[in-house]
Amino acid sequence: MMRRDLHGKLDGDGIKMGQAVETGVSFIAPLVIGKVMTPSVAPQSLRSLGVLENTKISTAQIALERQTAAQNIKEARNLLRNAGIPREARNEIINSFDLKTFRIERVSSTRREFRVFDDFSAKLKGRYVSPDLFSSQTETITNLALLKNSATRFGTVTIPESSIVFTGKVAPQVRFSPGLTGGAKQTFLTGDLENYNFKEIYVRNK
Amino acid sequence: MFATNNNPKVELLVQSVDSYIAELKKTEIHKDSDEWYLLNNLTDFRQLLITAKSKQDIKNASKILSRFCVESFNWDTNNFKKCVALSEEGFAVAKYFVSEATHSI
Repeated sequence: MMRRDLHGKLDGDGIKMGQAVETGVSFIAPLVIGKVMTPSVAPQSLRSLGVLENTKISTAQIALERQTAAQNIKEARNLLRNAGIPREARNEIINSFDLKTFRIERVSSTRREFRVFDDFSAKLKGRYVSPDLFSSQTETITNLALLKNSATRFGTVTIPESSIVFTGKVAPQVRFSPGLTGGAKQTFLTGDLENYNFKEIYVRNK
Repeated sequence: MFATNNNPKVELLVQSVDSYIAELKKTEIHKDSDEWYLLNNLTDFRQLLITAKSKQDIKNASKILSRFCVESFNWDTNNFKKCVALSEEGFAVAKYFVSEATHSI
C-alpha cells in the first residue's frame, strides 16, 4: 500500500497497515493504522527510545503491587476466618475490593469517613464506609457499587486509632448491574461496631 | 404457596427464611432498628428467591443478603449467625440451581 507521510514522502516499503513489524528487539509491535514511518526514522529500537526500561520498571512495579496485595488479602482472609465469617461471606468481602488495591491497615491516627445508607435496606451503623463523598445519588451508587442501598442518607463515622480496617478501591459489580462501575475509595471496618462512632449528618431530599 | 421453579432446594431455603421472619415478628419491631432492617432484607431475599430464573439471580440475592449480614451486625451475635447462614445456603443452592431454559431442553 502506497501512502504519503506528513512530509510528503512516499511510504513504499510494501508493509500493509495492521501487519506486525519487528522493531530490532524481541518485541513485535503492530503497525498503527494512520501512522507512516519514513526510512530516516524507522526501524528504531525500543531500547533507544527508553521504552524497554520503562516497561521493565512498570512490570516490576505491577508485580510488587500484586505481591503486596496478595499478602494483605491472605492476612485479611485469616482475620475474617478467625472472626467466624463463613467462606462465601469472606469471599464477598474481599471481592468487593479491586484486588490489586487491597490493603489491611492498622489506623495510625483517628480519622473520619462517610457512611451512605437509606430508609429500608442499609443502616447507619455499617462496616462499608468511604473517605469519598459524591454530589449526586447516581454517582454515589455507581462509584460505590451499592447493591441494595438507595443512598438517601449520609453519616460520618469516626475510626479510632489502632482500628484494623481493609482499604482499597471499590470493585465493579457489573454482573449484578452494568452501571455499578465502582472505583471510589472504600474502607471496611472490622471488630466490634461499637468501637466506631456513627452520626447521621444529611438526608437527601426526595 | 410460592413459585420456586419447582426447585426443592430453593423451596427449603424459602421455608427457612419464612421461619426466621416469623421468629422476628414475634417481638415488636421499631423502624430503624437492627431487626427492622433485617426483616426488610429477609423479605427482599425471599422475594428474589421465589422469582429467580437463573443461578446468577440466586447468587445476586445471596450476595445482597451476605453483604447486609457482614456489615450490619457484630459477628458474635445470633442475628449475624442466622442471617449469614441463610446467605451461605443461598450460594450453595445457586450452584445446583437448574434454570427454566435448561429444564425445557
